[in-house]
Amino acid sequence: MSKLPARGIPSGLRTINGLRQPSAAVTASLSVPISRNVSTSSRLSPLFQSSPPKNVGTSLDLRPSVNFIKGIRLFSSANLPKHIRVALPALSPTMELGTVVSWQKKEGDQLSEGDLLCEIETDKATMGFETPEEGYLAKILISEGTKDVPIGKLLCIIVENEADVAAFASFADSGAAPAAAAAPAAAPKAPAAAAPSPPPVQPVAPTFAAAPAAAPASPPAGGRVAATPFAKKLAAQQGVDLAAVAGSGPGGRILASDLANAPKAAAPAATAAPAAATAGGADFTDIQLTNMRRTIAKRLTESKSTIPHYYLTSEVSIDKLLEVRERLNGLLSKGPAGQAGATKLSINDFIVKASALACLRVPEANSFFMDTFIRQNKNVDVSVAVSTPAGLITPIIFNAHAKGLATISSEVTELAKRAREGKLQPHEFQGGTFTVSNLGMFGSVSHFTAIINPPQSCILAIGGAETKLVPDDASGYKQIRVMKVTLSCDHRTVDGAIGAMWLKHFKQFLESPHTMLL
Amino acid sequence: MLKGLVSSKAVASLARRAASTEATFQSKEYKLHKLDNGPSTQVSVSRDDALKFYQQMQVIRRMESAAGNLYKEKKIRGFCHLYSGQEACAVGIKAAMTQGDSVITAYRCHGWTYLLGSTCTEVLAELTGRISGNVHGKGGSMHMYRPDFYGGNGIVGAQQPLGAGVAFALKYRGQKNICVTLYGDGAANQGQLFEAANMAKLWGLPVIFVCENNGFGMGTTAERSSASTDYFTRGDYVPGIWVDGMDVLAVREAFRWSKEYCDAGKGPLMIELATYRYSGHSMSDPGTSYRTRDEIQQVRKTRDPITGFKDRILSAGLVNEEELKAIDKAVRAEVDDAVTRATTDGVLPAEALYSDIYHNTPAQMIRGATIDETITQPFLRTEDVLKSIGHSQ
Repeated sequence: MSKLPARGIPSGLRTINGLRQPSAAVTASLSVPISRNVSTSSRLSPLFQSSPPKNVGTSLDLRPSVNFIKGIRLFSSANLPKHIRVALPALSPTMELGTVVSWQKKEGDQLSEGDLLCEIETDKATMGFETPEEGYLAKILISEGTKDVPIGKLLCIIVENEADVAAFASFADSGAAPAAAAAPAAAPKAPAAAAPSPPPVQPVAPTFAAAPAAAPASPPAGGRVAATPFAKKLAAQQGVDLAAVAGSGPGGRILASDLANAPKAAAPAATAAPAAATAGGADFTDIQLTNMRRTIAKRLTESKSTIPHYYLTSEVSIDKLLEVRERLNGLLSKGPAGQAGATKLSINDFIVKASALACLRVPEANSFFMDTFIRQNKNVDVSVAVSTPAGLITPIIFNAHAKGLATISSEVTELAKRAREGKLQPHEFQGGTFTVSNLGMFGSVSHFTAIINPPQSCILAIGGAETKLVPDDASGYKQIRVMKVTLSCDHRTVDGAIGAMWLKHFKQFLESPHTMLL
Repeated sequence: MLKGLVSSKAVASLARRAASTEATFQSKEYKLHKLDNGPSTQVSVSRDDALKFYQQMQVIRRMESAAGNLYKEKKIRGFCHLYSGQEACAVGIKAAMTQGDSVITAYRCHGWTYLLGSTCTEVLAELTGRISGNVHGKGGSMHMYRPDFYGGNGIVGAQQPLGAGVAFALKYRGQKNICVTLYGDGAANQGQLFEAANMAKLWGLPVIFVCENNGFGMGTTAERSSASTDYFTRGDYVPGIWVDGMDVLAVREAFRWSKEYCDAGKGPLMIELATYRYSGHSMSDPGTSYRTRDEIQQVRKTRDPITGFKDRILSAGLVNEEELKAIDKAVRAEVDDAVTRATTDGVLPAEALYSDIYHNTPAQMIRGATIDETITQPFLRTEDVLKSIGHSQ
């Protein structure tokens, strides 16, 4: 009995079910051309690409397969030792993007079966990625913290021998590989083109700066620009026009280092021509989305597009309110009993209290639409909109209906302060049954309509106070201070009449503050 | 586990520094249920067999690992249940089987398909749905078949009564063969197992019910799923044996003994193989939400079937490092070649969808995906399709 495994037989003689399977006949008869070497010694079988087979179900990756399959490429263009390219895996069938959270192994570490390579965050959860091969981690291409990497992108390189690790020290992902054949093909072409046209290339570069009117995209008189493939790639990435770069390689060939030396020189020359659109970075700044911005974008879009908003505006005369406020503040400043530190009441505190009491009177406005039922909340937790440098956040005053104005005032101040420092706990801003948003302090907004925060049903938008002249029986006219408030309501829970009723109560509480005692 | 307790013959050969031809080891004690005697704990292996078992287990391990990687690259879709960690069960059982013995298992069947005659290419190409696959791409992960291998079954526990039925056929035909019916600890609580065991015992069928207890029914531990985790006793009136499923030699010995028992007409047996799976239940399961990674690493370090066996045969002087390294290399090459083929070969033409639907009938009218695609079967059998495109079987 042979000690060698039966499967070590060359494929040409391999049998299936006892019938010989001549590999040539197989390849010839299949409708798809397959260019591969059917030798069993796979050390010499480079991983060729093949056109995707007909009738194959799904082929999500349209780029050449050589990037994705862990293949053994012996003779790549840079003559790297035998290695395995590991692409970002699809850890779940629905995963399309992944974020590399952390690497458990460093470059040079040994990898054994079952070892964790890195943690990858998917759309669902953070999952560990075990090493697909044993060996040594040669190079990490996607570093810790890189967000939203598409699956199939080159993640790392694994080699069999520890000695090969050093060869990958400066390895860079070459993206869509034109395969080993293209690189040597491009190289002989470049010197051939450079030879007849070195003189045109050289003068074009320096004179370009002097003649910015010349269309930056037009090729030099000699024909194609001689540049190494890497330089071409970098130029495309950086948006640099190769015709504007002086080459320092043989025959005036542009090298990657030339781009590093003079990319900015080309850019200003290009921007001199106003029509040039190749200059990037000067006209706009891209700001990465923070989690907060992302959340605001998502939630408010969802709210505005799914909730049937309607708006009720009321003009509230606040003279009496201002009077009461002054008197109360006077009392508080004289050192009230039971209060630690004098708080100064603001109009907003009255508004919060009045809203809470109005919600008690009209519980529909204090409810949640829960798809199949409506939840009427018994307590009124008022979310107060606070503007922070990071974005809008709504800390909550819990049980506002039961708290006094001074308590509300101190809580709002404290929460707003912590909100601006970014120190709010999730439970302090998630929840709430009613929202109040006040833009009156800017002096520029007379009235506005706010977007409801789901699952709440209403949001009250407070505009700035204005002075108005109104007719008066006694002296013909009088001056009053008014402020416009707009209640946005979710028609699924609050009908127009209900909303109007709420506003009636609210207006009464503000115009006759003593009624809040009832 | 007492590793590497060698026979005097092996010790003598160690002293001579020449490769010996046979070594004996001590396996873990078997637990018996309703049996007075059982398999021997003195297990021996010849040099050739040692190399063969090592190679087979390595192929299965690498092949399953390649399947996992292909799945992560989205070259394999759908279900994919990996056998990594349980290789010793399959290799040990196959070693004890003779020509004519049948096997039926559940969906963790890639390793079995390989052992029962498919090449690595055929298994991986079947997973990727290519024409060079085991059933030419029409089956996929859970529906692979070989002569005397009844798959490959998707429904949990469906194979248990089928296995009893196959054994019934063997007995009916007067064959001195057994049917090995494998299932997991999760399927051990299925009702049809007990129904099948009843009929098997009643009619004295040569069926061996094998519970591959890897400790988890998907994500549920055996303790949380079963009132009795002594799966070898669950047959009640069917005698049972508990075997260490990470020791390929113990498994082989247990099945050699059991085959003798069944061939002698003494009826069915229920064997529990205590094993472990390193990957999750399937590729949708990362395998770490119900157990810690440390636990998996711990089993890899202490109970791995391949390294355990490797240590044994090395320290017994049966084989040397170079031979094993050569096998590793050959296995790697074989699997890599299979991966290449599995990702580049073509697929069956569309007409193949209409073939192998009925047996022994004239061409029938078959509805396609839409009523417009209703045609009379152009080919009755898949082999006809293959012949028409010139692909030899």
